[in-house]
Amino acid sequence: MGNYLARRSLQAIPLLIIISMVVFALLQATPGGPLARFENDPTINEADLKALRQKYGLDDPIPVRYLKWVGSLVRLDFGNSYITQQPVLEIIGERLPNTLRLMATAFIVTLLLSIPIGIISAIKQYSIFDHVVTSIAFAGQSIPIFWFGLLLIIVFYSKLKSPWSGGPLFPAGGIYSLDQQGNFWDGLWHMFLPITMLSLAWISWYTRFLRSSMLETINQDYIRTARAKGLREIWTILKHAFPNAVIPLITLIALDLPTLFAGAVYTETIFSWPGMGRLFFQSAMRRDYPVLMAVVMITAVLIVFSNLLADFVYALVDPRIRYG
Amino acid sequence: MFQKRSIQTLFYLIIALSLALTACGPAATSTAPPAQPTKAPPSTEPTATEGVPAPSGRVVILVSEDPDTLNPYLTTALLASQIYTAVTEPLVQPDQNGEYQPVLAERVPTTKNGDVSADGTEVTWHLRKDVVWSDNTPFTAADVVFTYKAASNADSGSVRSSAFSKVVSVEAVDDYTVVVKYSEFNSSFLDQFQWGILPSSAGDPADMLNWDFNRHPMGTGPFMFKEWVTGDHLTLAANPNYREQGKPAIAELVFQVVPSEEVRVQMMQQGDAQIMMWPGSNLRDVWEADPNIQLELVPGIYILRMFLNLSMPNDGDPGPTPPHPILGDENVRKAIALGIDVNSIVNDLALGRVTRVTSPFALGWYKCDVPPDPYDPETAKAMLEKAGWVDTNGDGIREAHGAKYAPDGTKLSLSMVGYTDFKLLEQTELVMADMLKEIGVDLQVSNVEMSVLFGSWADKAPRKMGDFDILVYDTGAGINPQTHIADYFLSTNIPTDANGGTGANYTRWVNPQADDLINQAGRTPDLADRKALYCQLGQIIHDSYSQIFLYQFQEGHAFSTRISGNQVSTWAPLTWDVENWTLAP
Amino acid sequence: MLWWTRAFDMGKNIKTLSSDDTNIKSVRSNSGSISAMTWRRFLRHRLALLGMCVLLIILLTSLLASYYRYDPESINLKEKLQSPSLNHPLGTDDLGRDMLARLLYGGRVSISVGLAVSALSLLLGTLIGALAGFYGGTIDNLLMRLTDIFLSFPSLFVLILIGAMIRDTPLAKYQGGLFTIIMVIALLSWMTTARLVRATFLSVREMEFVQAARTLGATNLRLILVHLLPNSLGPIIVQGALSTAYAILTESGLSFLGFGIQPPTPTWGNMLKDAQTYMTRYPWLAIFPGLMIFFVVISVNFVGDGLRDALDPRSIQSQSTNT
Repeated sequence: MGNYLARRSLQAIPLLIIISMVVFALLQATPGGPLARFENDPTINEADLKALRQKYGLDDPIPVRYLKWVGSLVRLDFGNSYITQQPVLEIIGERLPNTLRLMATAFIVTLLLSIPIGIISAIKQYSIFDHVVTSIAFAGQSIPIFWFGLLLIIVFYSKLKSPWSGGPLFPAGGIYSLDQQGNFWDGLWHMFLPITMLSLAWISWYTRFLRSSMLETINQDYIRTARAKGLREIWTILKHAFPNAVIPLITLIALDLPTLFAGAVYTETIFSWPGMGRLFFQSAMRRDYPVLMAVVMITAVLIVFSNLLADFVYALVDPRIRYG
Repeated sequence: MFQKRSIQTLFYLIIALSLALTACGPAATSTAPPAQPTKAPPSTEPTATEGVPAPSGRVVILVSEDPDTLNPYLTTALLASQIYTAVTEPLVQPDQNGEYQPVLAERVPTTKNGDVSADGTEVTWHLRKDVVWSDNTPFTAADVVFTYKAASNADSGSVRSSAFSKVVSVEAVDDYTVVVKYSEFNSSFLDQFQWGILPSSAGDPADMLNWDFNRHPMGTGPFMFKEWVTGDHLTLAANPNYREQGKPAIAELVFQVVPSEEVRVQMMQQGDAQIMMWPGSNLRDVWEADPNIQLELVPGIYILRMFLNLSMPNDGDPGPTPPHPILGDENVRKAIALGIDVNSIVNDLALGRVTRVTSPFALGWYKCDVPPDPYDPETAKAMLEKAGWVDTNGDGIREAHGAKYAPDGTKLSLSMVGYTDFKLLEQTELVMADMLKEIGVDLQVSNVEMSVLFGSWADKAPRKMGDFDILVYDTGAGINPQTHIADYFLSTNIPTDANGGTGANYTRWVNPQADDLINQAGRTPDLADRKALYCQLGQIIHDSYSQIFLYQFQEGHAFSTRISGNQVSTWAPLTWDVENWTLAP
Repeated sequence: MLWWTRAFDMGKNIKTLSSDDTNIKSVRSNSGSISAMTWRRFLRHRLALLGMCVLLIILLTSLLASYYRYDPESINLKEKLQSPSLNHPLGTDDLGRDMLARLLYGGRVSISVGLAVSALSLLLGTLIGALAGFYGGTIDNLLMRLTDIFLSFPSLFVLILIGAMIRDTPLAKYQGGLFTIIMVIALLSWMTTARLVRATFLSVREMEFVQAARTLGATNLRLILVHLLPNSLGPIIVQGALSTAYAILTESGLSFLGFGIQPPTPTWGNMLKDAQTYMTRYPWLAIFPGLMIFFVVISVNFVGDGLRDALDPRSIQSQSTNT
């Protein structure tokens, strides 16, 4: 297995190189450029722009620019934003904690809810609980997430009012109210709606997945053996079925890791959350190439890494794969 | 068993990690930099001086995105100027009537008071002696010279260097006198430092792109920079060293970033914010219904117009010849103008929140009266028929039969390109397409991003290359329209290889009489004479139908009634008079 | 959301390892009764039936949209922003265009995008998966590495970048960039099908009846088309339903951000985008397009679920709605 993993890890490197080249080429092919915002201003003439282009190295041929970018990348220098001149890593450093906070909390909420619900749903198959859960899960997977976010704002911000302050029940954006920076409860209040929006789909997927995984496990022979041996039902489930049902879920979790970083573009846009997703969106609009390359590459690295992790975990727990 | 336990451990590790991450709150980065040598923190607590009340209260201003930078010489973004105007100050500034008032200068230089030489090539600025920077160091002529060095340095990344192209030298005669020498008369000499004076402590002029100043500016203005949490808000605090006692009355200005317009409206209605910048015109009934909010509008600079390409597109030649097969014929252009009911657009679509204009000279001292065309689809149809455009196959779109430049059978189909993310623009385009369908003209509307529409010559942007049919966007002249008019209407300003792609004569319009008038106006110091020339020019431009003028936006913002002392100005950003604002509790 | 497809693969692997050959062999015999049996099983799945009915209704109304008296693009400024009434059953938008007409025509675009993307990605995925699974060895390696590359792209990011690129080129002028958007989304979603088909091919390739056909002199092409492909058909069809749902959601999401299909071509996604500025005062502008997306997607999901149950005989044991 060590060989298998080593091989897979080595394969990751050319993978990432190819991805970086494709994305770089894509960006250059996109019309418009970071200097276009100056074009409509008559006080700037072409000579100024030429100087700026030189400064940004926009006149070099594409392969040269790519190599320059790789060169600085090796020194862990992702360059400076074209728009704000800040170092890219600094910009990411400002946005990343916000995204992590949001995504990690949503993730925990998802796990806390979907695991017990999925298990109970499987145990009590065909009960009313099961039917309700399955229906809601279906709906949750089918609802367009951005529409759901808009609905949440309409209902919880415009229509419903808080009984004690008379203001909206939940805020429609931002990470915290002004002056409430360290306030834990204010932070939670602001996170409530975005997390609801994010976790609906997530919970639906995980619940259904866990449910079917549990069902498969429960119907296996060794469970019947355990039952036949006379163990109490709850123990049977918890000790024998659950760990095995959870294994595929672990791989699912591993595969979801990049999302913790890349954030959710829709959620951050609708709820004015200053995170990675919105950073990408804004940078795409303004053609801020250094930021875009950095975000895409880091996400790609995470994806590759999480795939490796998922494979690793999978191989770890399933001996059939290890020796197969 | 080993595997199961290791799985469980992994599981708990993940949960623990996530919990740890949640506990971390967002880092408030970009707080006041160490470079600011203020001893005491900028006071938001009252520090009363001798019977003058301390600044109090906070005004929240809603914006849709972060500014790109706060250095006035590195950006042309309108949003940035709203913010840095409260921090950095110019030498003189036009008030809401367009008359220049001294700010950091003691008086406005004119030929009458001798500060401007007779031929206009030498301007002397006498600076105020009582001004200090917010870090308590004195403001001197050296700072003005420094600003010139940074702004005109081609390597610095400055976007204003061409505004200094006529400047020969800037010298500090003494600590409070600066002499600016020009190679020839510069009609906008008063605006030379309009973007503000930079402190000489900001850094090396050649290195301006990397200054700390760009994210932590320092100025002489009523407010100073306090903190900037990217994506969330930017805070300015009252400058305790501001030269006017008792001002500003407000302790803090917070620019809060809220991308969603809906949410901004809600926040205004809840009283969570006091100013909303540039609210969409569709919101007027919201403000009217709310007694606590009032919309304050003045005529704006930006005029929305159609740019018709008079030359052949996509022929590899950015010059004015050969003529556009459809739009080369001025009768077709006029017919298009007659086929658009501009009054309906202004009244029914924009609900009267914009004003119809007919020439680029639409406001201020140079406002000209060029009579508008009526909405006359019947005449338009007749004109098109006469020009050789007939609908023979009954599909509602005309084809050429004996047209001036188009081969027979060419469809009267044109593409119209505007920019995205601007609702009113998009709606206007769609309405115009609908109207022109009536007279047999087919308009294909598509919008591209601003950064693409306004691409550069080096990028071979369609606008620069003359590879388009009709463009729709807004632009306008400032208080001194000469540069703008020359750029857009001089025949030598058609972007071609010959002039390196400079110039904004995108319609490729050539008219020697117009050229004469423009050049004459550039040499005329007297404003009344210049206006006469402009008005002549305005009529010629209108009659050429190379640009079809639609309407002028109103400049304005929504203010909470708690704010008074503010005056919205066509000629200056929101915060130009922020030292005079007061906030009622 | 492509992570779940990998998990699905893994789930598939678990099942393949522990399953027997009964379902494969049964396909080999009397194929006539199989489709009938499949159909009967499908009909028993009530939700799937409901889904089918809803889809048919929506499809029908979209097709008949031209008979509706209002044109989705006819502007009438005097009638703008009206709430639902007898004249305009679903109200009007900010330019006075009838909402119902726009929804119907928008449905045409959104649904056809969904179907086209699905068809394209199925085609591509099947091709690649079949080649990889059948030939094995270096070809398999190469194709799987290709799959890995595509899987490692952060798909939403890349879609946004490509969307930004497309909307500013002349391509966007034709039907709002319809064809290019379809191609792009399909290009980033064929991977699941490829792995699926490859997995089935790998396991079926070594079976007796295939060996038998080979010794009888069947060409590779015949082997692929006649013997191997029909066995994968079940999962492919199910995957088709799921990827239609995914395609519709993705297209409307991209259009919502402004990077998908450009106005004035209406799609449910860009109608939602336009509705954003008006949604608190005129909520119907935002509610109806989203509702339509929801109905279509959930119906497709129901149908997909029903198909999975119908085509996968092992599910008879549990008769549950599996993943």
